[in-house]
Amino acid sequence: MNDMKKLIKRYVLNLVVLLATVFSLAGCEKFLEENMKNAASPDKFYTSEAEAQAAVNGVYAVLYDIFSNPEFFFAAEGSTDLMVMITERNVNGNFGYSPVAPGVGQEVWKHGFKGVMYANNTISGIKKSALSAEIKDKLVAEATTLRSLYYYILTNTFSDVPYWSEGLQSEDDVNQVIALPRSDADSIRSVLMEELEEYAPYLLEKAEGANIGRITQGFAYGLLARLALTNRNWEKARWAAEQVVNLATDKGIYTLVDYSDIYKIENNKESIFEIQYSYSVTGLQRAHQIYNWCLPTPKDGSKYNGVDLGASSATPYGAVRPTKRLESYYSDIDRRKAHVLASEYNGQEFNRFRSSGRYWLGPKFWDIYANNIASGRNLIFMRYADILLMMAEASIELDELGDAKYYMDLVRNRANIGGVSLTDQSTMREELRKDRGRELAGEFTRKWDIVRWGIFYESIKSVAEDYAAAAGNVRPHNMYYPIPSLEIMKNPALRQNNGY
Amino acid sequence: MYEKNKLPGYKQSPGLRIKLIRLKATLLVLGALFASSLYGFSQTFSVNVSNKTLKSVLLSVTKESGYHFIYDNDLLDDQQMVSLTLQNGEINSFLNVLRDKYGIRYRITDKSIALFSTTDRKSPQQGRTIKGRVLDEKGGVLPGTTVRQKGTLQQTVADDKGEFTITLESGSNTLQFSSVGYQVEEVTVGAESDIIVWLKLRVETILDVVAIGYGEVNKRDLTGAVASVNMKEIEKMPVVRVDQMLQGRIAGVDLISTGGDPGAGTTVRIRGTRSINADNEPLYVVDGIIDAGDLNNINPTDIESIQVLKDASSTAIYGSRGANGVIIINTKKGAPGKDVFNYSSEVGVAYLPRFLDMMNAKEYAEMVNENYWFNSPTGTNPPYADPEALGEGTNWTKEVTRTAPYNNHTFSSSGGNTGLRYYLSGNYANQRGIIKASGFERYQGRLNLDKTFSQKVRGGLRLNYSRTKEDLNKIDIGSHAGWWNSTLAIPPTMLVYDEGGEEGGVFEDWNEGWYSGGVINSPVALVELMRHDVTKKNLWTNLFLEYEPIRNLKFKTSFSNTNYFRNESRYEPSSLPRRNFLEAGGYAVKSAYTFEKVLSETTVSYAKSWANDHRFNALGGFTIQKTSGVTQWQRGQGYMVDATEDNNMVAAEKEATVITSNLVETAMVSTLGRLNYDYKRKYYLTFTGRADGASNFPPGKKWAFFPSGAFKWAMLQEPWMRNLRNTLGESSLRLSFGTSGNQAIATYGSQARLTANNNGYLFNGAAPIAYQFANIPNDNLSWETSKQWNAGLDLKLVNERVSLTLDAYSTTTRDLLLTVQLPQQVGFVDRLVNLGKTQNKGLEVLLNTVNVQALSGFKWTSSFTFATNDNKVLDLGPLVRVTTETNYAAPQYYMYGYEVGRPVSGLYGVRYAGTWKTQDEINDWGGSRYVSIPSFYQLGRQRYIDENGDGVLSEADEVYLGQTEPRYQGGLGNNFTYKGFELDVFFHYSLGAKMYNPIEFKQGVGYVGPNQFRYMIDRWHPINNPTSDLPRVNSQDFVATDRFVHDASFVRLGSMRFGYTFNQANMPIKTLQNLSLYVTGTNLYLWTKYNGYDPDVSNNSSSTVRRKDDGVYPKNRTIAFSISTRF
Repeated sequence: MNDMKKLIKRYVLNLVVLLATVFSLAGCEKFLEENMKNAASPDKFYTSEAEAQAAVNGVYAVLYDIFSNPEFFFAAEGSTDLMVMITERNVNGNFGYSPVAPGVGQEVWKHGFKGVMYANNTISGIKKSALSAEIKDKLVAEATTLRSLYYYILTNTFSDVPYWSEGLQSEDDVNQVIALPRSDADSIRSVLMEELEEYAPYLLEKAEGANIGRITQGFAYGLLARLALTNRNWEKARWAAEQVVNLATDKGIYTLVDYSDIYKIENNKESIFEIQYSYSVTGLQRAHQIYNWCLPTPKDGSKYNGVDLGASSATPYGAVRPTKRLESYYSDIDRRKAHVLASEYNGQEFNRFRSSGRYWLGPKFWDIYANNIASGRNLIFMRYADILLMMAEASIELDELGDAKYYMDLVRNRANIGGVSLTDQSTMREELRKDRGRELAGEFTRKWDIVRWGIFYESIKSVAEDYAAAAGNVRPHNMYYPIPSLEIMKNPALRQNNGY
Repeated sequence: MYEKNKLPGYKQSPGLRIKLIRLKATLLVLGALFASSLYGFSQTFSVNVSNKTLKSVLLSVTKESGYHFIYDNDLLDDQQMVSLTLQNGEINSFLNVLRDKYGIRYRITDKSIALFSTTDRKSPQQGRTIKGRVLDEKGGVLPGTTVRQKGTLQQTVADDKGEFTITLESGSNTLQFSSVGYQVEEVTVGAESDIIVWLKLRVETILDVVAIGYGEVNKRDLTGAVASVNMKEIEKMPVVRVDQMLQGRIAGVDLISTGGDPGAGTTVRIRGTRSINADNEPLYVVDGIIDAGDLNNINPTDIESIQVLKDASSTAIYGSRGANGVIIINTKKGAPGKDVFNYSSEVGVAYLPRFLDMMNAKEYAEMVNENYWFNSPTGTNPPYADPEALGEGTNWTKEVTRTAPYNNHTFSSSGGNTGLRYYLSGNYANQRGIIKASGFERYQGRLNLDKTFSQKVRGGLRLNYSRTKEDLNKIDIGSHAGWWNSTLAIPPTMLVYDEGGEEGGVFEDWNEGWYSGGVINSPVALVELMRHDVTKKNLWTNLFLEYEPIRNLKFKTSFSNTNYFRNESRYEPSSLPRRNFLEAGGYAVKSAYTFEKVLSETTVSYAKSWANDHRFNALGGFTIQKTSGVTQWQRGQGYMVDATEDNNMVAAEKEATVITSNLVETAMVSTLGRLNYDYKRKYYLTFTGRADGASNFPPGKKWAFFPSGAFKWAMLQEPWMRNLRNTLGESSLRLSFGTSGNQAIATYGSQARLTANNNGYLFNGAAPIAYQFANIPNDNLSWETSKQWNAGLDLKLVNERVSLTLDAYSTTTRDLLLTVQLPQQVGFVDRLVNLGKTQNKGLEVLLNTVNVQALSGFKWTSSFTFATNDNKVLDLGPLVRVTTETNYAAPQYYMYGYEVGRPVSGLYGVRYAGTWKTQDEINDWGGSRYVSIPSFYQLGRQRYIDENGDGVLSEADEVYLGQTEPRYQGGLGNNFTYKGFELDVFFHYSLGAKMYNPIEFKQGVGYVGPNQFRYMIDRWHPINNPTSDLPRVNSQDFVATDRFVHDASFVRLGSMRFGYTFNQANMPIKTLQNLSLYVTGTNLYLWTKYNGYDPDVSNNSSSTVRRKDDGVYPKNRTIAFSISTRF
């Protein structure tokens, strides 16, 4: 009997141990597999054009992270010789940024590389997919142009930056990328230019219907021209700008519109690339508040600095203001003046103009229909007039002044300020630089322009009367933002920009 | 326990006196909080004699101790030379030596000690000797049992074989047998001289049986560090969550409320913070259901026992989830017999214990005007024409707080027969919040069934259902981010209702302090108009079956199921001032979350003993579980009709409606085993192991094994310790080592993911679907492993008047699941990796004493806990310092973080150096010692120590300022009973922690927007206050500084309870039994230097940022009356 019990014990125990072992080791591996159902796995994605397009759409969304931030506007436009941003202790407006307080530099670094990462992953995913070559080329072209745009913003902000262009497949890839040092900005731009040249033909010629807002051939060539100008590759710049001019002249895709329409009509015939916004109180909301910083202040009821702007609920901050230099750029006959600068509105004079003769930024920078601080108006990034002026700039540098006059006059005549005198290269260069200022004020180009022209420091010094803090604090090395010190701490391979 | 009231002449009882004297030494440890009368005797003394006569020994003892001896001259042999050494002994140790070595008995009366010969027996009846043997229920020997002759001082201790011999004195014929863990047995001896006594395991007091993972063990046989909570001490506390009762009650367990709002959770740290990014909360096991989650679902009245497993030997049985400690909660079972009905009811009120010292309207207006004069010295139009006339203004905190009612009613019934036993209970709790329109309501029911089918087969059911509804807090009580509409920051000059309006009028909505003024939803408007509630329904079931085919071989299988539903509903009507101003219509959120878990656990255990010397038991088990969580969430805005609230969400534009859903599934498989062995209940060994496989780790990393071992030495069982058995009831040493893990990483956390986004970039005014990369794949993610050493000592006096548990531990946690900040050039800001090492070392003390137990029925008991924990980061791989949180407005300044050699919960900041007083100081930077932010090199602005001497204020000047976790903490409870009266007083203390008060960055710098702490009336001013070290008006610089770091130490009168229980004789209604009436107060007083509401709160953003008070709902003070009865 006792033996029997022992036997049973042993048997049962053994059985349990056996079962446990079998269950735990063999049967369970399958049971423990993760079957992710709440997100897509990159390995199983890109099976259709729609899926691949959705990944490319994801690359665009980073544009909001960069452009919706008013600080980015202050850095690109509000801390130049044409506009100042006077809010006390705003480091972007008064050149108070430093490696430890990097201002908007930290955000541009973070989001710029996020855009690069999205693009890299998307490009490598699409390239590896079984989609047709035609679809692949089109979508890779779109993602590549966006990647170029993010690198364009990064190099303009920091000069040299780490460059990488492969998708992240593994932890090893990540470990490699996080240790990359900065690459020479000119070389990066050269690579971008080659890519744009290769891929531009695969892009849409024209963004119509559901594609409005999408990257087009015109933008890719325009971006190529900007990169080439920055690299002082005048031939390439002229060639690239010419491609856009051809799209306008041969295919009628672009044309100059009435100056007021460039900001009143979104995605108009002159527009090449706008950051798309929309705001409805009870509906679709993609808003920024950049125009609030330009609206005349203080507000009292419906009056903005003494002027009735109608039934507006926009909250004005009025901190971004035109400089004397910008005011001096416009003659009274310049059709652009009333749009860029405001002394009065509907016959009522602003208090600021009445008391000091100084202007507010004009209706080009207002959104009186903004809901409190939410504006749904697009931000202009590139338009046909810019292409014409780049064409002219490249021609001046190539000393083909006649060509330059032709393209400059196209822009000047619309503004009613008469043609440029055909003089010498340096005089025309001066005039071209003023033309870019008058024409493109507030369109995210000014700081990068004065930096690439090498006149950043002396240009900023000119704003002493408008904003003493900016003129007082500025140092030549402020043409680029410092690499955030936190980034250097995390990746010691990064070297700081000179001067910081 | 021997019954003292039957001792003759008890009041002068030397036994009692000596015990009191002895206690004094213990009491001194507890400090002045104990009242204790003093005695003129030294409690201990030393004797060191060799070759002396006994007489001379006695003389020197008299000198040393104050006792004198009375004896017959014949008793002491003058020729006998004695050698005796006693270091710091007590009088009865000395007397015991006399008894054992020289056969001299004694009797103490007051200061006199009478000595007798053991052979000096007058009557044969009185002098008879009884021999016997003590056995346990199952016939095993029970060595160490104390045998006493009732009513006399005669006593002895059973030897290793359970055998004893006792010589009876005159007096009773009753022998009393007591052994730890067994019921006291009394045997009246007749003529027989040889007896056998069986002692029954004491089951009625839960303290003696301790739940450990997958089983229970007699406390005496426990090898690990397991703390039991005495439910008697904490019942009747007017709280709805059991964890809120535990604060300070268990050594080594630190509990902080996430807030004072009803239904708020608790963050619990057992033996410190080990993990940095993974979860640090302990594992809850309720009636065997692992990870039972929300304690709001349990009625504290249903709880029979709570055990906290602290060391790795105890927690290893829970493997990858045990590293943070385990809290085991078991609920009540029915007992066979008559049906017993219990009813208890608590009714009370809660209110805000204190208001913060903020400026009133006059002081605020004066400050705003002062700023005006700084900017326009010749101005004539200050913002406030007549500050004096504004007086106190609006106290926004008063406007939104209230005295809130509290209700809690429980009815339970239990009973059954030997076949089927049941426990059935129902609970209704309703706790309104001290902030208007917030509260918690619970309906809960429980059914516990235990069925004995046959001798071999038993089964049962545990079923708990609860439905809770929380009306969430709708307002900002004082956070830094929400300053523009927080109760502490809205200017006191703002009225509640429109100009001239009265209560019920139009809400004032213009906050003039919000930059240049803006429309806000005032807190009063929010509590009146907004709705935000969460309803949770939870059903737990656990069915189990036990089969014991042969004696001591037991199979147990259980199947448990958790069903949890959470519904959130939120509506902000279009009539809210700000929505009305923006013409934004109504705003609605509705979400539903369903969670389901099935868990199957099967164990087999076998116990065997040989020759009563070797006892052995083994446990093996297999568990498997699956969970799934489904979320649906939608949000809409722009609703025209407020009446439908969130019940008609289609009534908004499509683009203004957002819908999301989610599914998260996990699976886990484990095998586990435990071996217990002891030799003569003297040496114990325990080995435990668990192998866990979890789905959330990448392939190849899914399995891990967690072993542990423990050793215990019950010293008292050693023959050479026999003499101490008259004094000590228990004395054992424990040692354990083991590993346990932390697998708390997000599901799918190792996989690359593309997530959909329909809120992406616009093309032609519409946003087509976008997919974005959401995660860096990591095939190497694995468990975090903690290795822990534990050494423990358990001491208990034989009369159970003093018991002491000491534990020391050291835990090293490696392969931390750490979210590492990445160089952002990779496009991600961080990733989760296994990296680094932390260490926690500490000491825990638990001391329970019975200070007075008088014949009159007066009893005074104390319970004291003390714990230290020293936390340190040992290794961070390539990282130097990790920031866990930065200043919200100036992110270059880190506030919370850690570095190697510092605690995980470190605080950092720049050292404050007062204000600039003269231009000369500014010009030479205070002798190159001080720096400010660039624009603050001005008189009256704040300056800081330039730690690195580079002349620039930056994050490089920040220094370590302390830790947010306490260095010492615990509690002290005193309980007094006298006839039916009971008074219980409990203090909770926490010392050595520091914390930021983050609202001071805006409200302690004279910033003219929000209201300020009143201390800012002492701000610097060139004429009125030129020597002040508080900055001048409008000096907001966002520098993380020690000026805003406060000592978070506190002592709290945590609870006080006074009550009366009727006995059957004076019962007003005879059918009732145990009628008791109580009044209980919680959080009655708080001693602290912290200038916020309460330092013991935390709305942490990550598991390492604790004690962060960013607008936390303040803790309330509750006074409640309760009545309970049985019938």
